Amino acid sequence: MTLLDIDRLTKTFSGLRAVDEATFCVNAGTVHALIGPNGAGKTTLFGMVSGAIRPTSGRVVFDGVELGNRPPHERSLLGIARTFQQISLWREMSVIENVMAGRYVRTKAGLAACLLGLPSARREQRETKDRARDILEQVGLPERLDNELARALSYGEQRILEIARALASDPKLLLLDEPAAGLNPTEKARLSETIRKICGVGVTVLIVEHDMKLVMGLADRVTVLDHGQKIAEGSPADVQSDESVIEAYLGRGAT
Amino acid sequence: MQFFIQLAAGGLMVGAIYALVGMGYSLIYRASGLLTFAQGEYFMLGAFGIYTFFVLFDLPYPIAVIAVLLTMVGVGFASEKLLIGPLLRRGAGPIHIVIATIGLSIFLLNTAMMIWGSQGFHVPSTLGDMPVRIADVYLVPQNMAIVVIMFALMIALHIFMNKSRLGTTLRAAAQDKMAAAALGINVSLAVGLTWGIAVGLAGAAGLLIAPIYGVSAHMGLLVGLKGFAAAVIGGYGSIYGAVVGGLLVGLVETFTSGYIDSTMKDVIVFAFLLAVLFFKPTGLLANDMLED
Amino acid sequence: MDTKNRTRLFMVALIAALCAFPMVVTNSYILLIATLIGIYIIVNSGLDIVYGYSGQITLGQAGFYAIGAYTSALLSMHTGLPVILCMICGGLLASFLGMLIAIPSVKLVHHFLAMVTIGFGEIVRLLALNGGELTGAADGIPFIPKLSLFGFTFDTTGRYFYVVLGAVIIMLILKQNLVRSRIGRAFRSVRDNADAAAAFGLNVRRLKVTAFTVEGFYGGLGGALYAHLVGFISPETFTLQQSVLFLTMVLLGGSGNLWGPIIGSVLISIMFEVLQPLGQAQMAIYGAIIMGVMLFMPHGIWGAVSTQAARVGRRAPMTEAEALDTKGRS
Repeated sequence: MTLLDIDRLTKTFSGLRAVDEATFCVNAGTVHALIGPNGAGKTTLFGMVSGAIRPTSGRVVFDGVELGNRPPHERSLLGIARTFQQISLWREMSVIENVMAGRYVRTKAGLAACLLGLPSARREQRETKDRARDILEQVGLPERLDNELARALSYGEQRILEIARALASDPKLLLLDEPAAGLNPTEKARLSETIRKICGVGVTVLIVEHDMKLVMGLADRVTVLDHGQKIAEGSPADVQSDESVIEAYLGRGAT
Repeated sequence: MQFFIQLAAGGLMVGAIYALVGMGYSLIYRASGLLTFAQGEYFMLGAFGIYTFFVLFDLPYPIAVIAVLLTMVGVGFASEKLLIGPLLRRGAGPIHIVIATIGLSIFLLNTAMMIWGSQGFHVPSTLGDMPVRIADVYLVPQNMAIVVIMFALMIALHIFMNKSRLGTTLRAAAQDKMAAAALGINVSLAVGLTWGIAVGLAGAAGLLIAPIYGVSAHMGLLVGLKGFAAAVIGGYGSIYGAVVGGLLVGLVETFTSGYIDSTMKDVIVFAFLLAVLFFKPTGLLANDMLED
Repeated sequence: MDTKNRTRLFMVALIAALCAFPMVVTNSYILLIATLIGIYIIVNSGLDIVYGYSGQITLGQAGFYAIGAYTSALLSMHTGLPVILCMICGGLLASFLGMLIAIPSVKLVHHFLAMVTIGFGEIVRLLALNGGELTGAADGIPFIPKLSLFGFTFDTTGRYFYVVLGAVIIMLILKQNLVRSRIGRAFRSVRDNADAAAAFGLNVRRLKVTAFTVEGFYGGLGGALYAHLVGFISPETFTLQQSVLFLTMVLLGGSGNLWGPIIGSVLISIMFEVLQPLGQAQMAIYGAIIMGVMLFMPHGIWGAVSTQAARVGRRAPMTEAEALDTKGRS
């Protein structure tokens, strides 16, 4: 079943076609990787799915709904969540608070309820905290870190926390923007396992990543972009042996 | 009609002062992306400077002026080195810098009161106090000099920043510190100098205005505010914008004074500033980022 | 016993000590200062919500303070409303006006927002100054009625101390409820990274306005309490200098937590009394304090103390085994 449908998506920045009629589908319950040499347009395409960037033309259809120009917070409600290339955690909040705050759109206690500490607000708070703890367990961040400030975590832990936070809104689609950047091999292995686990509980993952080994071992399907255009698509094995892909990478220096 | 022209002339002349202070705000923003609350107090210090050197120490006027300008540039440089720079190095955000400059302005204001007292002082004008009549309009020579000097400084600043080697260096350091440092530019010196110039501009405004309006510790508050308004209205970060903004503020002020009520002039100027901030924060002229 | 219960016990002991305070200390001047400190704690806690929690600069506290004071004073003198209701109305009006002014203002940041908040405070003061017969203009409003509840009149400072103490406790409980709630977390995510907050569905502008709205009530209630304590108000009290003083208290004590505003209120108030003979130098010292705090203690005293305490109990870094363990809690 198709969860995300990218249909001739195009983005032009003052004459430069960053994304050129890109078309592909992401199936529900899979890990789909988006790869390509630097400057291929991956992050721009991501931005158009997450709502940060407006397409010049083309459509993004999510779960049967055409996204159009909906702002990011509406897409959040529909079930799209994302992480960022640069860590954008809320550094002065604790680990568990970051995840709880990520769940904002799924909670509704109002100002009065919060100020007065009404039972409805308290109940919702408990539920939010429990859900946050579950997610943290899922991604493998131990309970003793819960009350540590986000900025006190190691780089690798922060990357994982970003994913946990994105999961907090119970998304159907998780957009991961270079989650392995800056991680050491041990951390990468752990990341891979975590992503597999997330997919296992039903979250679809669309991942942009440079680390080929990680991608090939993790992805169910791979789409390759070069100069904004899709040049290949298929299983990791197909794509690895595709000539145009090899040329695209070798032409710039292999990754 | 003659009344109108008189007011317009007056407005341009007082506006020149705001333009000078405003140029300083924009220059600092251009140079470091930072905002400062202390320009008004530097203006006040410039005025006290000329009082101290010209009246108290009885130095010849040109020497006194040079002394004041050098002192103010030095004070600006020191402000950057002792306060702003260390704050940035410790990872302070813009909000901390703004608060720190609030503290600085309070410190300068009250220290000035402690040093010189809270009464007003008089500085004689070297151009004479008698108004001169030019085409049906009475103009005080000192005021005219201010306008001329303001335009001269504006042009000089433009030439300096864009055509001279040192100026280009300052701009490079402002745009990209790392790249500038890689090119061998002493970024620390460049940023300090830029602050020095900006503060020097405010100080110059102060020394020029002293013979007309006198010197007192609180003179910086309103001028600082109006100079800020000038920079905002013209487009924060733009030198020419600050000039246009300053003249505009001056005109609004004098016309309010002349046609409505002189007690309303500050309120009207402030309302003008708020209106621009609410409806067109990027200024009436240029484009710059100052919103979230 | 564990930390939570230890904190609770400390709070109870503190409140008990404060209840005993007016019975032990009979010097009415000291009682006045102590009561004022309580009022400042309320105002500063509201300020903390805007600055410490939502990360916005604000220099308009004196405006809220004034609105609450004048509203409560005038209502109590011209209508038959009981003083307690007048106070609440003062808070509500300040809150409402805060919301109105915040709506167009929150798109601005830093210096520009500061300017608007200064403008707000100054306009309120100028309105009071030029309010003619209604506000008493420069002469102010004298003979403000005392607070009476259930027939009991709080006409001495000692008695009023309990009123303020009660108000402080209530307002601080409300603040703690708020900052621990989803809205409190939303404030902090706006402060720490507004773009990420927006990406996670938060309406950043609306949240910023909410912060100001809450601050308005705290400031207004503080002003109302002030009016009925001192019995006389005039525009001289509600100056920019007062706003700066409030901000200094929060900066020095520490923002973004419960105790910082309390510590700051106590310290600066005591400093104010002690430094009175210095006159002008006082404000210069506050200016220096602001710069010093920004340079050396940006999280204030409470921040510095907490960091030290945390350093003592620093956690061990994660081992590789833990890193690979994705199964469950370690």
